[in-house]
Amino acid sequence: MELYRIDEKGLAEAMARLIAEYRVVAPVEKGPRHVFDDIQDWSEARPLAVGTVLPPKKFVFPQRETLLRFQLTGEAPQAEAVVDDTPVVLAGVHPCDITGLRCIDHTLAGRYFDEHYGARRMNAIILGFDCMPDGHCFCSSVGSLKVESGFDLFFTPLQVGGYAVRVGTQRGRKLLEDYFTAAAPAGVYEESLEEDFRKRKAAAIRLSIDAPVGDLPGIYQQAMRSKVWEKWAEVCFSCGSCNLVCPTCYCFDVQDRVSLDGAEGRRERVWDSCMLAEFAEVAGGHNFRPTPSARLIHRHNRKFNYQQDRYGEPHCTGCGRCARACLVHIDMVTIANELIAEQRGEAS
Amino acid sequence: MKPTAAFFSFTGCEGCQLALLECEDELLDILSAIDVVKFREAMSETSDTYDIAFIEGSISTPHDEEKIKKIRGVAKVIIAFGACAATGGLNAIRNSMGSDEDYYENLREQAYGPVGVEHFRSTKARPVHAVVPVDLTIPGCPVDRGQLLEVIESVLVGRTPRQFNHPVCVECKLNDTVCVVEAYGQMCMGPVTRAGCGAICPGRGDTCEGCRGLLPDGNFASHQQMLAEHGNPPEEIRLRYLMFNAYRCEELGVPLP
Repeated sequence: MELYRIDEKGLAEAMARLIAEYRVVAPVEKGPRHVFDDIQDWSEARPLAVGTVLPPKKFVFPQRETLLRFQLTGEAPQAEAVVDDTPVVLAGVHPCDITGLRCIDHTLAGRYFDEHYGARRMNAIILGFDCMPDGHCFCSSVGSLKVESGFDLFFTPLQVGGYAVRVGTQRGRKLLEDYFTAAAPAGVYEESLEEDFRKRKAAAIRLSIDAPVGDLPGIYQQAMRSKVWEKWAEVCFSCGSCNLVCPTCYCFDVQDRVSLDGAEGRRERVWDSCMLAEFAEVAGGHNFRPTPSARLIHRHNRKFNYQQDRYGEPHCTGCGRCARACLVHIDMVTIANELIAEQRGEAS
Repeated sequence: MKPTAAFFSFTGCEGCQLALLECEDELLDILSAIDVVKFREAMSETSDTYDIAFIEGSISTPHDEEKIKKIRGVAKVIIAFGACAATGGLNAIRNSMGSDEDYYENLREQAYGPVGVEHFRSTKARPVHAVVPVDLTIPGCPVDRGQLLEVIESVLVGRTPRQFNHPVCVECKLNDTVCVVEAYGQMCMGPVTRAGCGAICPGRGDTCEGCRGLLPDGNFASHQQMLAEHGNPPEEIRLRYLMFNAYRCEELGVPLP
């Protein structure tokens, strides 16, 4: 993979050029936390900030979006799909969130191609940035400490100042030529600095899952009746925060809205959450997962068992958002380790 | 023919009726879809027949009780409109302070003097559904205009409006709001309160006070413990639960600290 180097000034100049032509979003400060939002100036961006409230997923799979508009007047109802292909530059996307987008691609842009998601996804330019973990990060346990693809350009901060820049796509190469004019070809020295950054990052991660990620589907499969679920279900609010901040969750609800005169309307898609009591309720009132423990089992199996089994990678990227958002401290690592300990205890 | 609608005010501040008048951009559309025949805040004409009755306020006097039963006999659809009608609202705080006749008589005497005691009979403050069956509910203090419009839309197209059986946290997350509990340690009722308001209060840095009512299956014990762990004294937690949910706590059997 091609490697370049750019200093802070060169990066800021490049971003100013991009901002002049594109919608550019990046982590920005919001009170004591960060969120991804539009920026008008690169100085607003905090590209290394970890733990934005929502992941950048919201720009390719928005919280609420109109899928189609329909007319109910005339001889027969008419409907027209709404597809948004406006390009957007996502800057400051960390390896966990790059991995998160790939996970959603498996479902929404794989065998079944969701036109609405696909159009946004293909027009999202990803400027990845490496980062330093906080106390909730555990990417090294789930294989997303480092990404080899999924970005157009990837920036690693160097201890000597500036960034090493990896080119991930043809589009990234073109961006580099057209906008990042201060970037200079780099070599083994920068490569070693990149490696050095990742080593420090790995060393700073405080959490880890006590089993290889490949073993997790089997562990979760065996844990369906574990007491661990009941224990955590006792304190769970069923508030859905964990799902809603997750970079790999994509469940949604579809609602039709009709104008008061009944002439026209729109079909909307809104994020949903399998932790909510109403999620698995069907017509007639039956609820397939009526208890918090049934919902916890489902959510955690979606991350480490069902999806991993189907697509070959865990659908948890170790970003730590669910743990930051959970007011009663339910987290993926603790639950995984309790299940692992329980099964090892039984085995011995 | 357009359905006819009437607005009735019981024990409350009539602020929810004003919330309808604030739907300025949509008001003409609403009026072309339904025929408002009685609306004290906006018109002087009245009618005694109507299809839809919007009920605002809680039922807190023998006279209220009589009146709401009459309305139930006339209206095809009763909509509990706002926190007081939906859950008892602020009025129900008094329920938690005493419930016997002496208590009410004492309150009336304080408020209206010895003559008033005879003229202002009052009872426990109750939501509308505690007295007559209610078809639809739009909770909130005041109601959310988005939900109000959605309910009107649903009635017109003949479908059941969304019930929002999930907490306010969902809407905070959808809005990318920084959690006021997680980031600031504030006392928020969001995790146990019915959504549908767009999480307007936490979105502006305030806390949720629970005006849309406690969720039927909220994890109250865990929520109260979480608030206590953030340093909130038990009495504060109790008062916060009673503020908008005194009747709701009784109805759901929520233990209070």
